Amino acid sequence: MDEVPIIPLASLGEAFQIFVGYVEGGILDFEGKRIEADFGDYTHVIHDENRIKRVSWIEPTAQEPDGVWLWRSRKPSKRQLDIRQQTYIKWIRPAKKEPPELFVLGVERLPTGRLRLRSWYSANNPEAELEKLGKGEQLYDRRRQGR
Amino acid sequence: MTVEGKAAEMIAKHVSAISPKVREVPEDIVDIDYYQNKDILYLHILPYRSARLQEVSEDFFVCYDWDNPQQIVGFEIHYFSLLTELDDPLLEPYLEMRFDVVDSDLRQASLREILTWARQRFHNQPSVEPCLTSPLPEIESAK
Repeated sequence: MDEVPIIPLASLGEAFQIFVGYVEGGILDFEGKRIEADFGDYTHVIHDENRIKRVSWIEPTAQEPDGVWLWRSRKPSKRQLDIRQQTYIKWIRPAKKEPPELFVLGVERLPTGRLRLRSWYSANNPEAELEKLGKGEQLYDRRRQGR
Repeated sequence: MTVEGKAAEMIAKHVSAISPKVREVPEDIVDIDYYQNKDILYLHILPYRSARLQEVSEDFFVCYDWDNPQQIVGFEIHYFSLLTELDDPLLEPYLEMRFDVVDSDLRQASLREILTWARQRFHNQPSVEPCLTSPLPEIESAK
């Protein structure tokens, strides 16, 4: 693994302010596309302090991901709606002495190309996560970009 | 789980089978939260804890305790209204887990039963009909 960037966690107060920025201006991704967020994305995970503190990782993951995959659902009902899942991943450390975490940003791509935030989390099993993603269409690979 | 823990669990289950009012050991209790705009069902095993997630089947996430990656502390189901099949073998071990559900009469219900109940509660549809809870203009126009 390359050197893993350190991105400090947000305090709970900072996290809310950061998220307000996401709701108002969206989150720009590595292609300059805007990912829409709404306050429900935040309030429905408010019980999870560690997830809230990682709000500060959302935009860096969207803008400078290690990899991005596009998924088409296996479910007929979802395929009919032509909703696809766009997943961004990035290895991040919260501090120098902390272990790296595989941070996952789940975004849905609607038929018009509009992007909507769905979820963000640290993977419990990074190997399984990467194996699962590897079955999708890879849109971006940081190593191939030479970054 | 320790022998004592296992014994306590067995006693609790036995006691709860006799009378749910005389339990001496608390059962696992889940609180359910549904985010209609994104069609996500959250099940939190109380008390609330931070979690790392793993998608064990498409749109079905298991939440593991942040500090104990073996301990399940909840579930997160995306596109809940589109969850049409519960026969995925990968889900089987989770669907048989049993919980009491906050603000409901459900006691020691299997996760499978809880999901069926949640579907009726949040979508009022006992049978499975794919739909979005809040249709999006893009989807409507794309039809």
